[in-house]
Amino acid sequence: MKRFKIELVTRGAKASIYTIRFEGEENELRKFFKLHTSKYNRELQIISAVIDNIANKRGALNHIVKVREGKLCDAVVAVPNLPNDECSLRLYCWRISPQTLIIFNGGLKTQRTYQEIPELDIIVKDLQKIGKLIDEKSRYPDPEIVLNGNNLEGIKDFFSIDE
Amino acid sequence: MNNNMAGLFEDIIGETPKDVNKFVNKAMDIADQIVDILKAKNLTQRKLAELLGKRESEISKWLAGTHNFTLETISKIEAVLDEDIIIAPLYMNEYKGMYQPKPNSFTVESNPDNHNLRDYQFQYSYYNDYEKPTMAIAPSTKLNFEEFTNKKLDSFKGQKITSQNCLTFENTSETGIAPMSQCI
Repeated sequence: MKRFKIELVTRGAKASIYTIRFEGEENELRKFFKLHTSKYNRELQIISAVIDNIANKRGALNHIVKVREGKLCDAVVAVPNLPNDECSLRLYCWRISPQTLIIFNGGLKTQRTYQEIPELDIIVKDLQKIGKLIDEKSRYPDPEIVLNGNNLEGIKDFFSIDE
Repeated sequence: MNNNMAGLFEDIIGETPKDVNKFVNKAMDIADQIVDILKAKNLTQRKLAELLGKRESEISKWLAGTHNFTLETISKIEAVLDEDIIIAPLYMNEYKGMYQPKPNSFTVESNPDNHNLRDYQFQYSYYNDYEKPTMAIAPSTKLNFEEFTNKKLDSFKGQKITSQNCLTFENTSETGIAPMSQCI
């Protein structure tokens, strides 16, 4: 079992941005930035500006985030399409609503599908497990996690997913 | 770098050059503007692709946030849509285009469990025309919904809400769901 917490990154006028931290590790957003900062500094700056823009100006609208990045029916999205076609750096997220986005981790998508890249496959599968768990824990009549406006409530404790 | 998460993000944003922020903001503004015009004119991305002689996947990519539009491309889009997409502030007062932004329309519907409306214990999500709901909204937010739907609830008693049987509202405020515009 892997235990994780949902942590707030930033809350803006249009959306709240969260990330995931596995027990004993740095959070996933930090890992993503640390891993790619030396080689893809400009791309990371663009991704940061997009996240800031989503939080403060427009929310995680469908055409802004890259939808259908996971399975057909899940809420995995990627931020964003970069202007440089040659760089396919993907940052995978779970979109709860246009006002609530959980940013996870990512990497270079050098093949047509993430399943063809083992590192990305692991990341997206973990994110799908986390998203599914959040979905289950938000079900009525006794939800543990509740979306109140753009604020996720009930996320102080660790949750567990299968490895 | 700051060890706290919010600090990390603030640091990154703080280190982002002004031109990058400006570029992202403008690219997203242009994409929003095109998407909004398509909606106002009841056109799909596929139709726009057709009008431009492009593939739909390319249009989708253009509208996904940070495409580096050339003036030539923007002019072509403006031409086929017969609307302005960008206007220099200097000439803003002279803008006489037909297009005017319209308020977003929000749809409220139950989650797949299809709870019964009679006891108001159903879940629901909201999303605009092209957004996918994934989670219920808190009961505190639900008060807004009930407040505006009390008059209509009688007609739904005993029924289940599905995606085919949903309630549409107009969003007139920043924070929530405002007066109902139509009820199926």
